[in-house]
Amino acid sequence: MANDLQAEQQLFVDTPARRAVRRFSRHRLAMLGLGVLLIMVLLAVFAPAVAPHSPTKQELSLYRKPPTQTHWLGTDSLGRDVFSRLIHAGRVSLSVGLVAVGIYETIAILLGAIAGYYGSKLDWIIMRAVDVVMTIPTMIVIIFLVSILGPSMYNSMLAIGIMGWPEPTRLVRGQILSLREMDYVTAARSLGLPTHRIILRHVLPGVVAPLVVHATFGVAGAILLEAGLSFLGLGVPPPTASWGNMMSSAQTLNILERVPWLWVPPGIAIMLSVLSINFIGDGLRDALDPRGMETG
Amino acid sequence: MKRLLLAVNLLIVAALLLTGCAPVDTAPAATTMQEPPTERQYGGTLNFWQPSWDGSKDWFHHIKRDEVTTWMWEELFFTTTGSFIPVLATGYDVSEDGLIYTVHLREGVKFHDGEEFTAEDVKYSFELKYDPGILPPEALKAEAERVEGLFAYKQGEEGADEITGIRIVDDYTVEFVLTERDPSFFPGFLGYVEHPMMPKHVLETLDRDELVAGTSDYWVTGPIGTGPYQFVEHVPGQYVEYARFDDYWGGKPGPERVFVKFAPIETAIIMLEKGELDIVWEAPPEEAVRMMDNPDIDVLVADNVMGFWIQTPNWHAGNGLWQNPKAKQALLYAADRQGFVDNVMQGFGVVRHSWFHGTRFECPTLIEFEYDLDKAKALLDEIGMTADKRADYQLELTVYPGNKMRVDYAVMLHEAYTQLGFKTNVDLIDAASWADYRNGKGPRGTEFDFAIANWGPGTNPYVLEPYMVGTVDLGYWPLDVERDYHWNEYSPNADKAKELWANIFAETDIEAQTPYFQELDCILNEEVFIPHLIGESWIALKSKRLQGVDLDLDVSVYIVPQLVDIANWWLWDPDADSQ
Amino acid sequence: MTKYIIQRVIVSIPIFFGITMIVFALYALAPGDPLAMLLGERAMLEMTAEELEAARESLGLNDPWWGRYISWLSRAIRGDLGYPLTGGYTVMELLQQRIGPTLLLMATAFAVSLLAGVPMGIVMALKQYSWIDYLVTVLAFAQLSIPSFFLALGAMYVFSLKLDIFPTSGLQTIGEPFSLWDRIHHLIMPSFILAAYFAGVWARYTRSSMLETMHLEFVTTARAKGLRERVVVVRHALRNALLPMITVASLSLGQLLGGSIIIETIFQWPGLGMLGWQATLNREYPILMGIILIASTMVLASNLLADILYAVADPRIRYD
Repeated sequence: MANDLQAEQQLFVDTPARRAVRRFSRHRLAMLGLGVLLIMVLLAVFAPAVAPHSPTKQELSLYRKPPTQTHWLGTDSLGRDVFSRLIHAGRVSLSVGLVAVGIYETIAILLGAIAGYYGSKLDWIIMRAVDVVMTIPTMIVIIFLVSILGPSMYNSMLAIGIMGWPEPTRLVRGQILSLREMDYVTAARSLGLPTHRIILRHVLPGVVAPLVVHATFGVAGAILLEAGLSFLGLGVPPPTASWGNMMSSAQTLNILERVPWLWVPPGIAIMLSVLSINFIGDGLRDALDPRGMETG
Repeated sequence: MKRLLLAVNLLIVAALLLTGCAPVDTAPAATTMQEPPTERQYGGTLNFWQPSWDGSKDWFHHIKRDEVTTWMWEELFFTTTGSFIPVLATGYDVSEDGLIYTVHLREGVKFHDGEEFTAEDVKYSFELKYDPGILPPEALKAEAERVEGLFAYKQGEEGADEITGIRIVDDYTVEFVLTERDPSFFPGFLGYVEHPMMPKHVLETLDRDELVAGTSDYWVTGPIGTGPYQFVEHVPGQYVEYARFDDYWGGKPGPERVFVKFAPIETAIIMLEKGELDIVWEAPPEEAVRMMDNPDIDVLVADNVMGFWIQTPNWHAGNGLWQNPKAKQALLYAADRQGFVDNVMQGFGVVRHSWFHGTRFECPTLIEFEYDLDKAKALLDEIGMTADKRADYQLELTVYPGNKMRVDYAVMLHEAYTQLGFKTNVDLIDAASWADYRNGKGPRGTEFDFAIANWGPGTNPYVLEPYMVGTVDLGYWPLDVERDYHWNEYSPNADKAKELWANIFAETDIEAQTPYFQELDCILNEEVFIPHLIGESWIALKSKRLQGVDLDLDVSVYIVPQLVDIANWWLWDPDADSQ
Repeated sequence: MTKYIIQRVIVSIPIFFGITMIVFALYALAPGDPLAMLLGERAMLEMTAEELEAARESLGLNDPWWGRYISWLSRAIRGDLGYPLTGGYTVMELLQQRIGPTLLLMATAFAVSLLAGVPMGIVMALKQYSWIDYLVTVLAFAQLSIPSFFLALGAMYVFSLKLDIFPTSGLQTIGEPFSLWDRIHHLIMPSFILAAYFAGVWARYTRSSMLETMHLEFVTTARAKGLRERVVVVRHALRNALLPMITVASLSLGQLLGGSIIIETIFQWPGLGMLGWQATLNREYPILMGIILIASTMVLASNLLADILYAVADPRIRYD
């Protein structure tokens, strides 16, 4: 059976993309992560259809009911269905992660491309800016920003996004510096193609792989940051549920000890999503690394 | 090495799992089965909890009696509903015209350095407290106008280098001369926690400017007072240490040492269970529920101490919608307050219909706004706020996020108002921004309808609410009929309320004032002056070894009940000291 | 070498000014009267409107932004960071009080995280795709994914309350004289929990770094020479894999401080993190600015040191 598969594979031309897919699919944890994350994303996207109850509907008579057939993960103090809140919270937490990372990766591509391609003074300025922001304690500045702007989902995204760009900027710049000297780029330049065209069509695609890996880890980090902000009362404000604020509203010993269905589900959701995303990132890194050995 | 590290990691993960599924094993301590002795015992170390921050705030130069300083500083009286507990004064007389209050001081009271406390110290303390150089809440000025010459002194006017209205008659008698008749003078000024007595003989030798600016070393190294304990040390961010004052006028206190330990509430609960703390006050109901099953911990409850309300800081919101009592009544009908008390307050609270709930001042014919969504809708329809208009109205609720129960109430109301058909939004804003909002200077102007707050005046109309001190001319602030943004600006009942208030002022006797208070209460009830009154219980969790604790319910919440009698606290089995 | 160090120091200077500019920008964004931040509200009360205006003028608050920036900077460099809004100690005094405990906690956590993380990473790299690799990977990621407040509270509940191994909180046992053991006893829980996150980071970093070097030519050569695997790993691969860690580790100091906010608050550890959180709650912008400034300067200095160390350890490095 295994021999058949191998034989079948060899019939195809071995493109880098295909090689990457094959390597990725061999990374067991990454595949597992992908599966789990896919389920979580699907649940989040179709939350309104999947959720058996409304996430905000209160039924005060259903005070902290343990899991039952109608309420799969029980109910909270206000009689809201924990499962429904959990999957709606997934939308918020995952999108905070995605958008925040989207913001800073965009900044990073712009700045990194400018710095890497144009070099000289602009490069110097941008790289010093990178050094500055990397030196400043991120968490404290994020707290500062959110407390000035006021806690909300968008401000969390913004604050995390504003502080995350230095590392990927460095990455993009480094990548572009090495790509700039590649033959095909030199060729494009000598053909007289406009610079922005060279960057867009020829240089940036080479940056994508490491950036995707970085962004993957970034999403996991942003989800955790949101949870931390929620603990400090600066995350996504209620009544909107996020995994972070579901957990932080459970931080009394009474709930920790006696009402586990209020904190275990969001805790596991955070853990699973962060784990899966990190595993995927790991797998992607192995798969996309051009020097990567096909070991194992 | 590797294995050890792995073990550590496993341990951490295991710990996490354990928190979820560990059985509740409350190991019974050896002492739990016995009955405590009835006699006060001497010795031991008392560990007291203090939650607030002490970053830049040096507790002591604020010259105010609070949970940290109450161990060493005392004032003349404690105020209770219509009466008082004598502390450094034994009593007072009021002249016929109500303008002169003669205060009789306790004799034989000693400061911690052995010097005697006299009338000189009283005058000095008030002059220090109202020193023009001290940062007051801005409003202190209004309060200061009560006593003759005090305002001029506070303003630092030319020649006003003393408060002329405070006269020393002899060593143990002081007269306070008022500018006008004021029945709130006693509860709001003389018997108020913000006026601890200071040692003149020590302070007058120090640099006045430094003293007043709070930069003097005196506040850090060794402030003294007349209280049952004397200051030993303050370690910022950790604790304040006190030692027993054997010559205390109220008799030698029990514990030998007191540590006021700083910790966040989550940590404090564990410290209490572990014996590192003896009392945690103003505990969350959630933790009280758990502690009820712990045989080593007593749960003490003072009912209905704290207020809990929503108020409308901007009566212009919604084009005057909230000036209509029926609109406010509708919102009150929409809120399941009893459900909130049961589910969120864990039963440690009570739905209040009256400002003076449970006291003699309560309106005899209260309207009780019980939860009824249909009634709420009908009322709104009645005043023209029909379903289609509600659907267009953006209802903004703001809440200060420091308190979980408060946020839960906002969440409840969000759902309730959404069900009424309003487009509802909850906005979390901090205290500083909230003040900005009120003044229309918020980042979003005054664009909100209700703010949820819970600093309550309890039920005692005689007690000034400290945060409001001075912004109030007339004692009990909700009844203040002078301020233009209050309910009475728009109410047909305003003149009636003003008249009632004048009647109250004309009397000094509580019996005579009662009917007027009752009538005022009825008006407030109908006007729904501030909707959503809920009485919050005040909970203290204490170890079994701490004895002699008595919660006095008559005292206002901000003179935290426990502080009244700390001198009487003692430790059972003092030799078996905990950490 | 000396030339490199000088170059490296020179390049830190604009970074330092960049930091101060960001801090100043935050300061400008923060609500409140800047005069109150400088003088303290107490002092302002004693002053008349004219005096206040004169003070504003003389402190340069009416100047354009760059003028204000320069005067603020010159005061900050001299150590004058102004007063907190509530008065009392100056910001500088507060920072001095709190920096010691923070450094102790951070240094311990840093050491613990390296001691735990690096060996884990090595094992993972040597036994790539074995069960131990998977197990440690899962553990490392699990550590990354548990919010630290939960870890802190959970650990306190288990180790302090249920098992009674460690004290709950604080710097030392209150009311007893200082003892080294007592301090260590109090330090263990907060520092291990703070370290947990970074141990995971180091493990993963070491793993990938090791994997990379083990495929490099010189390692293969060493192997081909018939050196024992142990020697290959320790002498060749490990050394080269860990070198870049110096830089990465020094950059993590800022994150470590960020992580200490929650840990210090829950464990009542009177350091900069706790101060920073309390300052946030109380909107004490002057204190927050002081913390950001001092923390960034610390990170900057440690980066500088790390780069120099790196250059010493690996002479191939040259400044580009």
